Amino acid sequence: MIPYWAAFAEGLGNVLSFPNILIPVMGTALAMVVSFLPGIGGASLAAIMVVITLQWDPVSVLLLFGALTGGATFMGSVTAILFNIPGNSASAVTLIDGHPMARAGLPRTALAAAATASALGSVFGVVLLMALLPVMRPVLLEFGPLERLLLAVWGLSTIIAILNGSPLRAMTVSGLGLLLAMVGSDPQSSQPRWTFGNFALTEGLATEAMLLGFFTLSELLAWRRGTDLHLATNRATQGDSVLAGVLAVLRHPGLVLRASAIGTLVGVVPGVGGTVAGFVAYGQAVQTARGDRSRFGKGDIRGVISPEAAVDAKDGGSLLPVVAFGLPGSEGGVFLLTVLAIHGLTPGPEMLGPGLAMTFTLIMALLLSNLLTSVLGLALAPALARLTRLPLDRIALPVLVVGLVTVIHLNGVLVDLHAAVGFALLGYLFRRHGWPRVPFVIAFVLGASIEANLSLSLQLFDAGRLDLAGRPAAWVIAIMILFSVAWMMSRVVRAGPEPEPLRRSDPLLALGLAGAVGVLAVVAMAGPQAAYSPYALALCLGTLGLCCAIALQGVAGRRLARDGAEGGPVVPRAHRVPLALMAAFPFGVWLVGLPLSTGLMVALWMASGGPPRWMRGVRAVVLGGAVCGLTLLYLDRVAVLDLPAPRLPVPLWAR
Amino acid sequence: MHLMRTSWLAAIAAAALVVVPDTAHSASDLSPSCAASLKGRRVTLVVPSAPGGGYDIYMRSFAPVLEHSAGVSARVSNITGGGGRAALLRVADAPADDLAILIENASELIFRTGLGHAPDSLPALGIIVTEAQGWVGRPGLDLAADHAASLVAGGSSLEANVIDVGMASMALGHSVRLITGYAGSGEITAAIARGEVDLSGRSVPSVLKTQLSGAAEALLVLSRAADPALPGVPWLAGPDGLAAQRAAALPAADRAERLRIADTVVELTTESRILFAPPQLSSETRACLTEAVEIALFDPAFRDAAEAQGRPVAPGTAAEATEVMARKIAAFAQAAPLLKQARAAVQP
Repeated sequence: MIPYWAAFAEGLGNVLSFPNILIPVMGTALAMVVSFLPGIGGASLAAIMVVITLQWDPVSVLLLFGALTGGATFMGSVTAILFNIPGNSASAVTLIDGHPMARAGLPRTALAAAATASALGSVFGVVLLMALLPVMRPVLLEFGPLERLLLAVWGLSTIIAILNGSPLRAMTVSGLGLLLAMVGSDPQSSQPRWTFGNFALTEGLATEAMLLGFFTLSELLAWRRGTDLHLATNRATQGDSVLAGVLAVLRHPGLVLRASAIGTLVGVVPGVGGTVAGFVAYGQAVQTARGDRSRFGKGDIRGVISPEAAVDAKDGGSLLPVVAFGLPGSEGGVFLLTVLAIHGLTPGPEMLGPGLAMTFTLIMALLLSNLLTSVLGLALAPALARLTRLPLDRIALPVLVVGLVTVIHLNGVLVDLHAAVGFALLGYLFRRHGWPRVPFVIAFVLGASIEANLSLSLQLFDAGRLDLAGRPAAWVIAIMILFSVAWMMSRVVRAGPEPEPLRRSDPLLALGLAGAVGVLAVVAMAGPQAAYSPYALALCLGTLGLCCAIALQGVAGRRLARDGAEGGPVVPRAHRVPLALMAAFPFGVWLVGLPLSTGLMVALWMASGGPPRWMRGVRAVVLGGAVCGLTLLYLDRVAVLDLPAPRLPVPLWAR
Repeated sequence: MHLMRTSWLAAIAAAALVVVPDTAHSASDLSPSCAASLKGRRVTLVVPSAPGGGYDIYMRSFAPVLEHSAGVSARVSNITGGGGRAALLRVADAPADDLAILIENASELIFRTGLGHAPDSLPALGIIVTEAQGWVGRPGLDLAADHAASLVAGGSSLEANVIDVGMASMALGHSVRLITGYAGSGEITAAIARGEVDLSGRSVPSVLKTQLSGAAEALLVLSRAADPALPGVPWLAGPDGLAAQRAAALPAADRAERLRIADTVVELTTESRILFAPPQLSSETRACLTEAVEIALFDPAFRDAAEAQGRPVAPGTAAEATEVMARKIAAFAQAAPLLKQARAAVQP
């Protein structure tokens, strides 16, 4: 085994030597650009690179994949802060305070704080990772299904920290998130569950489709001729600067350290860690914040710093399970494992012993990439902040089209498009009626992990293979959860909770949701127990109860608050056309195929954008035709997708 | 897990980077009528998993060789939806003029019946490789010995592990409890290292990789003879197999039953990766496609390209593939009562 520091020096040399350094730099740039585009994520880029790098030498491949792991993280937060659209599930927590800051005219400050916290978090993560490498295998062995279950529950408990409105609504949307995460199949029996005979649903609703629909598409619906975002962000606010963001991070060293430690240690746990890290760090920030805590959720910069430091710190930790056990905790990890296998690198003792220099090469490339994204983030913050001044109704259409067309690229099935549209409509309703969306995302993202690890833990306990007394890590996490929940609850109670009263439109929305959940409950009760476990059934009935509780408040004549400016049962005129087009889009795809329906949607969107004019009609038709052609090209030459034939006899060339 | 697909750049990259230095065959090896019939046509190689996996590597290595040998334009399409069912339907429902080829394990295809297609309705075009399955487990676990308590196995689902774990343990006379719901072989390996489970089933190449990682060791090969890749590791069936050793003291009838189960397990778990064509193809087109695929499968350029990426190739003809499918379908039908017993045994 080569000495530790010699391996470190070799790894560092591999990254910093010329022309090697060009690889992580290019990889980072590529990851940043790709993760900024809707519908194409880091995993997609990694998949491409697996094939492109087949003939590369192992060092170059590790340099590239280290950069890809680190490059995609930060850009997801940029869209979260600026547009209320998280680029990935981990950055969903950044929007809680990041977007209100942008709306308050502080986009530069928020972006700079995020970039600085990311850089510090990643350095901390890598240093801790290097320190832990020699003892990593035994540490990782401490984390089994029980510990993963508890970590996911800890992440879920963050919902309490972000309770700013009605707790009843937050609990209801959390239940819905957990429930929709269960669509697919039972983790123990693999029996299909709530798929309604659609085999494409057996793997569940894609998280990417949920994020795209729930945030991106639902935001776009509101952007159409809407001015709520760009008017707000056009305001030039004094004190909004990159320096202010950087200094804000430096003024909170304890917060950055705590969040980074949480990110690294939680990020180590495969499958759960990466997602939970940001949520747990946010909850901890709220919990331990000094001074005024009332700004959390409304644009407190500490709510940006903490998750950003944690999410970038977890990148380092997330490499460990791959390197030590060949255990991928994310899609990116799967691709990393694939390239390791292709290039003859075996995870385990080899990569922690004779191959330690290669492991350091990977880690150093990751660090370089993380630092590079932060430096670029700081440099580009002023320019990125100006993006919010773009006329949003102009950028809404291209983003909408790219999102809808590329979401089919996820698994090659139309159900992902249907899911994205469904989530878009749900997200729009939540947004419009002021129902919290982040608890839904937390619950949806963690739901599958909670159920799968609960099932494994119960089976292991039943088989006598889970000795609760012998799981110190589980006890530590359990105590942390109890402490955390108790503290957050006491804060809510002490602060004299000002639970936002239910609004007049809430019972109506709850009634609609109760109807949908009721259907799921009936299906579950009539279905086999192997598919619908007691946990699934209880969750379904619990969510139904919560929906009914809100609906009943309307029936009971309880005094309800007036709807806000954005609420109310009547859909604003400006939103009607995009909403109708979005809802009709899957039907159009079924009827005439994806290219034609995309072209039609674009033409109708353009034509309805103002008073009828001759030129507007011509422009709409030309643009619709062009988009139809581009979609055809994309399906045929780029995505290589063969979608089901449309119902109407559309010519072969137009499918 | 939901993985994004990226066929376009991957296809470009594969074309540029998967080098086909000296293909032994070219379009001129095809019969003149087939060469004329296929020339310039597009062939879609449908992969039921994400880019980067075994199936994908095989097809991306195969595409340029097929292009060269058949004069076609070959592209790889990864359709991962529905656990691979979407890929099956893509080929099974392809119109008569669509040259689509699916790569799939024989057993997987049989398991996916119920989608409106009988398992033998898709014509087999050839075999890429045939691999045995095996067991990995905690170091020191002696399968030849009796165990007072049930052994515990880890798996992804009951259906995926009922044969390689459930039926194989019946052949050995071991009581095995199956814990299902693990996300993949890596997670099960960690569970073995943690001591949560004792063993798990997987393909022999995967057994080798696991053994190299040091987290678990090879315990058993589900074959009728020793596997040259795993010297010293016991095998299940045959007169010198572990099942026979463990049943040596049993009455003749019970011993014969154990050996029969062991033999069935080997038959069902020995996996052939087969290429399938759409059932709607005309007989002439199917014959030409078969000819072109066989030429490409036996081309050393394909073998070299796949093996350079750690994927062994042991090609078989369309006739052999058809025979494998027929044998498998019959074996599954015969094993139905055993499967039921195995299900009840591993998850009481």
